[in-house]
Amino acid sequence: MTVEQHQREIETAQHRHARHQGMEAGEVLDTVEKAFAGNPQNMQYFYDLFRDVYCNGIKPHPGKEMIGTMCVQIPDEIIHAAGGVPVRMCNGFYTDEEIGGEFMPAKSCSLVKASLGMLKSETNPYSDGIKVIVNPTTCDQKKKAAGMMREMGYNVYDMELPPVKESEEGREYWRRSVRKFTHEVGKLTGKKVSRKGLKQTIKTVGLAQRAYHRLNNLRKQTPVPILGKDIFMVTNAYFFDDLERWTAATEALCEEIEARVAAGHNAAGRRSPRIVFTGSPPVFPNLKLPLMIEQADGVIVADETCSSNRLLNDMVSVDEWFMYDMVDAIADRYLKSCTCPIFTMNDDRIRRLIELYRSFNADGIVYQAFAGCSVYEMEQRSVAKAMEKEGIPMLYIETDYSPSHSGQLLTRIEAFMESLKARGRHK
Amino acid sequence: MNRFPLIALVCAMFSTGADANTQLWLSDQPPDKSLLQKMQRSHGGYVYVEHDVYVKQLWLRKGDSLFKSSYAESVADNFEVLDTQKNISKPVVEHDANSHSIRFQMPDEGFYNAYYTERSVADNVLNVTTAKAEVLKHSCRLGHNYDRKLVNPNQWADAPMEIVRLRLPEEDFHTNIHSGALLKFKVFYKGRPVSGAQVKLETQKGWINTKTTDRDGIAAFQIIQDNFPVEAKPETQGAGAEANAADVKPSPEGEGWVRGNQNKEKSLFESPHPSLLPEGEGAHALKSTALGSEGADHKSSEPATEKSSEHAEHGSGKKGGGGHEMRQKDNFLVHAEYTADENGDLNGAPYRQAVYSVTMTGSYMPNVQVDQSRPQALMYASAGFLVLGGSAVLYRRRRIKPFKEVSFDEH
Amino acid sequence: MNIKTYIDRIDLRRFRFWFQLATFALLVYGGRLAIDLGNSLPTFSCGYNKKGQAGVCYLLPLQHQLAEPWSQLFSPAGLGVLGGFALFLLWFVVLNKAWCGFICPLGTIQDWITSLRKMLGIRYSTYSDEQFKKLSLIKYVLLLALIFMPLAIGGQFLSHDWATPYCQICPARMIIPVFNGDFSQWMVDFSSTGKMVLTALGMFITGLFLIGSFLKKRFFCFFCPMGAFHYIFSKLSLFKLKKEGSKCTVCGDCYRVCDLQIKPIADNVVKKDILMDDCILCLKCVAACPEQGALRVELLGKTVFESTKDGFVKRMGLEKKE
Repeated sequence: MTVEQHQREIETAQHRHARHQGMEAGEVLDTVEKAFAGNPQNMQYFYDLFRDVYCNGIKPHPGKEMIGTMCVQIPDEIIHAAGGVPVRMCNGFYTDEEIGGEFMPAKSCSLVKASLGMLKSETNPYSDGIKVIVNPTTCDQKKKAAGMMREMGYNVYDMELPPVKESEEGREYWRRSVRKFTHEVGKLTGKKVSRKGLKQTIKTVGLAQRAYHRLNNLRKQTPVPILGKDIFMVTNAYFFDDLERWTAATEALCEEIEARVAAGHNAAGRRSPRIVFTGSPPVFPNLKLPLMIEQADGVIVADETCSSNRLLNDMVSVDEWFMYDMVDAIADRYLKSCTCPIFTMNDDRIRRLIELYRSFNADGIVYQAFAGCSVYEMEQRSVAKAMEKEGIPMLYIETDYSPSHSGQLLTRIEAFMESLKARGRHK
Repeated sequence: MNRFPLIALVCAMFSTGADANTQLWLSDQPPDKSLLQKMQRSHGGYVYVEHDVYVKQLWLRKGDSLFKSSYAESVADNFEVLDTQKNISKPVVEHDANSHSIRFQMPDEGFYNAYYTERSVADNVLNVTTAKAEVLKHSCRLGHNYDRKLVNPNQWADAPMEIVRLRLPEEDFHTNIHSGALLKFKVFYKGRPVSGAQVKLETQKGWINTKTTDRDGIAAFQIIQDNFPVEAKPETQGAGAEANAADVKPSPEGEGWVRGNQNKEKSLFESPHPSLLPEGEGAHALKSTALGSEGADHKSSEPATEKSSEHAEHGSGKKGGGGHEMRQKDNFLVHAEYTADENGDLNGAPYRQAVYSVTMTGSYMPNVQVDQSRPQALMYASAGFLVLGGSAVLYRRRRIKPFKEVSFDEH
Repeated sequence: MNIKTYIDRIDLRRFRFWFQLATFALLVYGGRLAIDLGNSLPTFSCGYNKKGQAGVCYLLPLQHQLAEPWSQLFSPAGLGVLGGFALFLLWFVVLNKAWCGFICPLGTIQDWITSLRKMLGIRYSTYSDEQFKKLSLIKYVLLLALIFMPLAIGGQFLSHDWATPYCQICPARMIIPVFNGDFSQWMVDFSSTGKMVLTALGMFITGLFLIGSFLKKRFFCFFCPMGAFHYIFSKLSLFKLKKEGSKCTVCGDCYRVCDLQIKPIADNVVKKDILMDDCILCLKCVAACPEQGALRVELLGKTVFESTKDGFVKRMGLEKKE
């Protein structure tokens, strides 16, 4: 009698990676979906989207040529107008970070490690076709990552970003960068950026931004109708989702939340401290800190991060609808208000935090910095001083993607929440 | 911007016609120049301002011509003033040593006419002499929305002899008379227009033109362009006169200017009698004449036939029009005379003929058109346009070439 | 929709177009209907536009009055000058520099020329920082000239040929009467040196004006002495442009649309009263600002028009889905 021998396939590294990735994503999604009661119904679209892409291996843009972007300064409007699909490459997987750690220095930014790790592995959501990766010259590690990406065989376009955004020379430098990029991307996709096309995409992106603002403004309400973790999910979906679909889903979510506001729904606890979240960007599935905060009875009402608010906050204003004005207007929008710490001065960020604190009626600020991120770590000092001057409580947390130390972190966060609550009582 | 008020004057013709050259006129320049300090310049000449009301004072003067005169005394104070509403009244007469003057108020905007009449009989001929002054009251502060009918000349129906300057097309309170302008005077005898009256127009420089009124009582003169430094030689008189007339588009009205004898001895640029200077522009006019004299010495060829723009080219460092007088207001004197068959007697003296006369003055300026150049203007404008436009085009071209500035074609 | 929301959502471009058209018709043709707004208008309602003027630009009577002989000017009779000036201030104080952005006929003409350029698809020109700094002094030089040259005439240092020096070089004198068919100012006057210099310069500047305003938005306003004159008194005005620095994200949208390239409107986050010397209060910046409440216009302390996200969205055409 022959016994069927089940040939157990030896798992390749790739498969294992994909499985671990799926596990990590699944775990976070479970927390996001199930650890909290009363999720808005229209959030289901977003939860399902992530599950599809990261757990079930469904490609987000099948058959389309994607243009990968690193960082938030790459002009989406122009990529859309050239017929490309912009996809943000910034990655949040610990699984990928481990891969990246093999060829990156030990003390380096988790996000860069993870992004490189993702690009190295073949089982990533974009493995079916990244035409080019547009890498801006922002922080040191992203800059050097360009070389590593080229080694992996990717086509990398260096987009030159000035280190000083206040000077006229800096602005003109960036405008030239963007103008050159407009021509180059047209050549890459084969479709030249036209006047009509660009006007159209400015509108489409504008509509997306409008949907976001509509949603975001609802967080000013007391009580807060939606939790911060959901907003992070929404904005993280913007990284790779189809623009129009995303806009429609967000609008639908707005409707629901507006109804919630009318009904006086409170998504958080009765005395949940309202938190402004800032610093190194939380990218799915690294929603560790936001989830901890909200599980510790806090609620994130606003954020100042490049994976969430800064993606969609500033809107393009054009005086004359001609290429010479539209392209420059887009360039200005991406540079002038950017609060990325890679610039020499950070006054704008401090003012922004204070303004967010006031207009969203917040109780405290949580500042996350990835270990190894010199810019956010260095900036922490000036931000802390400014917050102290304004009398705004701030919690500084240095962390990375690894799941260790979560117990310690949780303790610190809970303590911070308690102190805010106590403060609230004495107000 | 200023409109010189017409200051009338009367030519009082006494006794015989032999002395016909002695004329009387009224002027607003006081015999004592220090009084000018108390007065204020206005569109109607010097006025006193008392409690916000303009008060005009006119002195009686006599002389052979505009530039040779003295103050006079009136006979019997026969002055009248016609206000803007055509009401006649008697002004206050002031008798000073050797000079008589009248004062009257000008409360409303418009023209005030002053009249002085003298009658006398000599050789069975009645001489009725009327002197007329037309004074403008206008203040820019009251705005420029005045009733345009106020610009029209007023006429005193009871005047024995009246002369009126018909208005130029679209004339308003600010209009100046320029050389080349066609002036029409209408002469009235006993309130009705009269033809066959002799009208003589004399300019400050001594150019005289005489015409007879037509069927409607109108005599037309084209004001001469006489602000070129022409030497006062008898031989050249005719030539100069014709040349001048030629400059000013000769027409029937523009012909017939002759040089009066009176001004021969005087240099053309002797400062006109201050009494005739408008509105205290004396200082400036004097200055420009001083410059003009330099020009005369320099003798820029035959200025009479040349356009002022060409003067500029001959310039030789001279200011603007190269030697001719600039921006000066000159006066003219118009004198109308009519002989009528009338019988009667005046205070016992019989007469079988009557000679009526009336005089009035005005002022005129050089013809601005001669001084203006449209083609040159367009040249300068184009220069500005091309300089800036050209540099912009070059700049836009250049920034693409060496550095390869990125630009787009719009489609 | 309450009135504040209605105003905040207004299509500023269209509103300005019609408003400017109406005031242009008023000031350039109003005289034909015997409208007379006096001699103290704080805008270029040109006094040489005899046929249609509905009021006279204050700079003309100012230069006239300052040229009076000193004995008259500095005597009690000279107090009349203060009367005209007081009336000018009264007109000005109500609208501040909005006289420039909404009413000035020369400004309106420049905006029309800009529209022409847009229709032809030609790019506009801008000044670099260096050029901006140097050129911005010109309007003060012109202002000083138009005050001191007439005074010199009154003191007999200059002849009357130099009277109303600014009016002789102002392009409005040439261009505004043209709308009434009056080309009489298109000439160079050779009757004296002073006149010749000034009128030739005036024609040259007119040529510069025509091409300059084609290439640069509101070209002349940058050099306008009336603007400099306004700025001296703009603090007294009832109408103010205010900025709330804390709400500003320094995105630069306002600077992008500003015709006069005023940087501090975007970069200065400290100053409250943000009306600069070049500003024409066209309010394009307020209309282009996407941050709620960052820029606003106040009348007597009450906000009349402010930047709102909602208004921005509407004006950029993002309200309805395509």
